[in-house]
Amino acid sequence: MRNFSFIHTVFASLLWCAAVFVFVGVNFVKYEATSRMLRQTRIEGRLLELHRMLQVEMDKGYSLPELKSAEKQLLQFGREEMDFSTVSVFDARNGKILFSSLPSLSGQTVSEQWRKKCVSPDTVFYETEKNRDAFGVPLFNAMGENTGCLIAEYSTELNEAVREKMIKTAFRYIFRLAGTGMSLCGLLFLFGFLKKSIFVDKKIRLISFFTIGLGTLLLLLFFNFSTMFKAFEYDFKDTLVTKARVIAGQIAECLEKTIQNGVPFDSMTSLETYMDQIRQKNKEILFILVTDKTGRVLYEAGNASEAFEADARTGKVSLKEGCGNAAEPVNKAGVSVGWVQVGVNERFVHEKIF
Amino acid sequence: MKKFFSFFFYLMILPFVPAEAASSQRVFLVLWNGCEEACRGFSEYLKSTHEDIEIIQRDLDGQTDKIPDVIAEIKNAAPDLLVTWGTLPTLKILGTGNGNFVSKYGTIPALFMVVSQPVESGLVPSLVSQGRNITGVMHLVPLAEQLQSARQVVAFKRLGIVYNPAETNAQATVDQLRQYAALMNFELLEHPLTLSANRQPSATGIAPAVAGLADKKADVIYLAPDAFMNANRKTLIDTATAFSIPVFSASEGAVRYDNALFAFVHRYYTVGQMAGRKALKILKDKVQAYDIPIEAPQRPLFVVNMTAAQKTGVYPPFSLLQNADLVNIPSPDK
Repeated sequence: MRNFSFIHTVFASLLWCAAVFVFVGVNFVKYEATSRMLRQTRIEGRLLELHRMLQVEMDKGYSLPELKSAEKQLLQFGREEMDFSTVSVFDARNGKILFSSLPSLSGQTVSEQWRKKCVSPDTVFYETEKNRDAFGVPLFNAMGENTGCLIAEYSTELNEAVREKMIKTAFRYIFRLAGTGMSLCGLLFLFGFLKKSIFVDKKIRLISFFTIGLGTLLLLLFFNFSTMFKAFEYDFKDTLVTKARVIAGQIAECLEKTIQNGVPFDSMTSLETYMDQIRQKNKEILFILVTDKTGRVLYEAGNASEAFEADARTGKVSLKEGCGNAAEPVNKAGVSVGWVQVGVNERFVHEKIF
Repeated sequence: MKKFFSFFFYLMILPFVPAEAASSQRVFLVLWNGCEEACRGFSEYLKSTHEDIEIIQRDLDGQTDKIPDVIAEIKNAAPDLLVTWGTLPTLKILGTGNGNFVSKYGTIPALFMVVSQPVESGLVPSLVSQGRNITGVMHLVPLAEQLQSARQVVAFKRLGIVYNPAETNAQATVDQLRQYAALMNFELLEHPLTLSANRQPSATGIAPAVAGLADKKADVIYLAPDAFMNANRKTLIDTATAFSIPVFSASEGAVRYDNALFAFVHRYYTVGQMAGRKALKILKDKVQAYDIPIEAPQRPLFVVNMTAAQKTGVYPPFSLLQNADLVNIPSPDK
């Protein structure tokens, strides 16, 4: 083996550090973008659902100020979401807020920018401000006129907290990987140096030490690489689970309304198609299950069996590692009649990268 | 001195005299059978604009023999706009030729609403160049769209229809259905009602006609824009429901009040609102009626009768139910 000079060692270490920085940086960007995307699609999904409910009322012929149910629906919106701030409906003609989850906002005028942006049918516009993100969808009357806009504001604090956590994780792994790599370079240098000068007659012993050291460092390197992805996944796990819970709640709410409207729970037509559309839009979702209260699967989208595994000895069924699950009850007249379960793949970014 | 005081008095009141006294504009509204949803939508729209518009409302109470008196009244009143409701009164009052219209009403513009097929019925030659000082609002969703939406609820292979062959609207619909049957790959099971010597159908023929369609295994029955069938729709719907055959209707009334399963419609209230908007263009913006195209509202709506769904056991798809106007919801204990 050719000996490592000191200059070579320093140069190789610097090169290694740069490569580690780029590698971790690229992965940080991907995971961070996914975390933002998860939050954004959760909010968009919620907003479009509320928009659908209001739009049905408007298609019935009601004008925007006549929407009696709007205020109640706005008050219920986002109650369970930690980062939710306000949701309002404003008049497209003058920008005045007609209804809001924060009653003191009613009558105030929204920014000109929002009025200009909230025009394309069924398209969510997104505007980011200091500590808040605004998401809006226009409302059309039955004659096809843009009469107003539904706008929700969310605080960015939680998102920033996740980002900061990810930055910390990224730096932690940059130091770990860089340190391990530099140690490896140092070891190579030391091996060359010792081989030449000190233990000339104890070569076998030296090679053994070197091999053990090299193996340990390589193992450490591999361990750090693999745990880095898990660490990033752990950082946005809350975002992923919150979104799964919101989707499960949304489906449960639609089911409850449909049951109230006279459709038996076990006779929903094309519910699988509806759930599959949700699954297609949200790539992290592995499966959506609707079960009765005994746990019998009534409707299924995706392949839930792939996400579960059974213990060979006890027969106990549990979710595989890397799979998450959120469940919301379906109630009929206040009594639970079943559950909606949304299973997510926590490693979907990792799988996308590799 | 007297002249000086008169001049002084004139100067004093000058700021309070409007340049041109605002005069109220008059709309003559002819209704077929009472002020229903479209009429309400029209009146409420004009009211919401706070314009000085007076609506003179006349109801024919479903009797065509009242029409000559109403025409005479329109001539005497010389309103700024004539508004009619429904195909039959509109055709009787506005006629089908421009010469006849001008001789009757001179320059009075006209606006119709709730006319299902203005071109096919001969009211106007086209929807965009009317050839007469008439505009209007249609209430029907195009038949192809209705059939496509019906396919989402019932994947039908055989569509049945019972109709009055003496009625222009019904016959025109059947002609269109024949064309779509070939295109959309379904069998059309037609059952025209037998006409008497004076070309009048009898309601007693409806139930046997539906039974005949049931024998031929109709998957769904279409209630077309047909005045006779709509007047007797309860018989049709009840008989079809007894055979567990869902009925889908061209108009919302059959779903809302008589247990037809569903309709894909423009709501009458919206049709009225849209007619109100066109009326405002004519009266306030001084746009000529012939420059305003005849159109329907933009966003049709699914209306589903949930009691009928329960009775026939045909539940529309879940996603469709989320976007529909659900009516006649059964009580939970049933």
